[in-house]
Amino acid sequence: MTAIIEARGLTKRYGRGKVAVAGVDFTVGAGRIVGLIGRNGAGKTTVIKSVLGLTPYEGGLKVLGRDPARERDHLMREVSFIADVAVLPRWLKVRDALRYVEGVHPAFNRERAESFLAATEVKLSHKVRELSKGMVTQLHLALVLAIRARLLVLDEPTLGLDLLVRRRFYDTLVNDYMDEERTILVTTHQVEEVEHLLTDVLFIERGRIVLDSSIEDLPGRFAQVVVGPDRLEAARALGPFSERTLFGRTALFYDGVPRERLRELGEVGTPSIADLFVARMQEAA
Amino acid sequence: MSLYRHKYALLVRRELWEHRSLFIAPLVAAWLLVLTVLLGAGFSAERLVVGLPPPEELREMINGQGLGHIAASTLVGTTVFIGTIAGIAVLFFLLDALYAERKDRSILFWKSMPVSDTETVLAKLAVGLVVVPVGTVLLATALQPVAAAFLYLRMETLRPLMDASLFTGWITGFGRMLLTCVFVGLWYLPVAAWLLLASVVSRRLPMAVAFLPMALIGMFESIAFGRPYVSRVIGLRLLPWDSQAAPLLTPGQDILGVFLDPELWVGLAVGIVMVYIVIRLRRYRDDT
Repeated sequence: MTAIIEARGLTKRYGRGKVAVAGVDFTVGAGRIVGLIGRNGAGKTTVIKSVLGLTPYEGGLKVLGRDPARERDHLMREVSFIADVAVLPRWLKVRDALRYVEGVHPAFNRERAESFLAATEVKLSHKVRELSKGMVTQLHLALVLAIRARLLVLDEPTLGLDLLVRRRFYDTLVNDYMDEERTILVTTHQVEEVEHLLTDVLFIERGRIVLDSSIEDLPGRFAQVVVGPDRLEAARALGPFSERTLFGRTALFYDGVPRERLRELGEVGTPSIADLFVARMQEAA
Repeated sequence: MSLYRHKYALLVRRELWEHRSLFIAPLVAAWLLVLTVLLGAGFSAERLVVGLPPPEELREMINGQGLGHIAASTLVGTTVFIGTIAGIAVLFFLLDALYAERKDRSILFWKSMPVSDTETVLAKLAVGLVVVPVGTVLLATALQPVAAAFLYLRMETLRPLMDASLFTGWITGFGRMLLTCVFVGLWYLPVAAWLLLASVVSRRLPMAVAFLPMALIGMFESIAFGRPYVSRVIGLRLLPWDSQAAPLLTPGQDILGVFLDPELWVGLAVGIVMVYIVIRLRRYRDDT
């Protein structure tokens, strides 16, 4: 597996000893869609900013084999970045946006962007301020999809957008952008939004990685069982790391407990990423 | 790739797309001048901003100073008028240049492009200190034939006096104005860098960040010493046209001395340091 991002002991301190990221290690491989998931203030954006060379950091960090702090300008030829898909300069004309990116980005294919836009309501003569949020998102997608980037970094890209726009954004990304050479690192706290797209998850809490797993490895490690009150004691005896009670039935979450032992209690499933995230955060609290 | 679509050309064009006043203001100024000529209303012939003194007076001037001299002066006057308006547009542009992108959060889009902070900052400086001044000179020069043609058509008494020295006058005037552009670029670098600095650090009002310290220095000096020292230096830096730079605007005077002025080079050094700071601040400024 080629490492697209490799962090070793990545640390970020702000003034007065506040530690935003506390020596994290992780690797993002080529062709993966990695969700960096955490609460507000957990350190997601700091990790992203370090990866993009937008902020100085300590520790080892290589992105596409380069040091982002020193080689940011070079790196951005192969890395695309969207912080908020609904934000583009409001005074910019769509046509000028394409001209600009074509001029400054060596890996931009203008025909591709134009053909993508042709299927939307966005006209070349529009200014960004005349577009709806959904249309800005489409323009942003057109720009990003037409850049032959190896790594796409998304930082809370769909904040404040309605469900329809969000869904279409992610679907387009997966269908039109992803292939085995391309990699996406996405942060979000709307876990449900992305969980079906991800190949890997990184949970971050208080500047530390608390879970680093591929999606296919999750069922081998985590399990959930839903039981009624009659079996709750027996279920608790097996050492769940978290539980959640709804309508009198309790879902219990287990880490590393063999499924055979859980089957005696009830039907065993794999917790969703959202459940896992909440459970992990409760455990950490 | 054509020059027009080169990366650096686009960095400049992008500024003109956003700050349309950079070309609209000089065009409006030029239009006002044309209008003045068309209406026949003249400004004072002394400073020779384009305009028409009465034909007899004009005749006398041409006979006295030579047509070439008058042509050069007219070009200089036109450039000064348009340049003043353009300069005000540049002032607002530089204050906005590194502030608006943070305010509307589009900075993250700009930073997602393979354009370094050095390139970004230098492109903005180049727009203010090179593109607009040179554009102003070109625009002013383009107006001269228009004015001359008007004179030729309307004032028969002047016709016999108009000859090839008109062109030589424009050419020397044009050369002089291009040299003035070089001066403007060097002399105003610290001013432009200061405005960009205010733009990059400001959280709300770049204008206040840029000018309040100056006003405070002036107030402090007048209270403490009763005389301006620093504010005098700043004042000269903003408006050198009646002193250090005066020879540039007066045809026939020696202009080399203007470029040998140590104050020009000290200011340049200060400006370069400030530009470096601006680049560093844009690189790592982290408030999005």
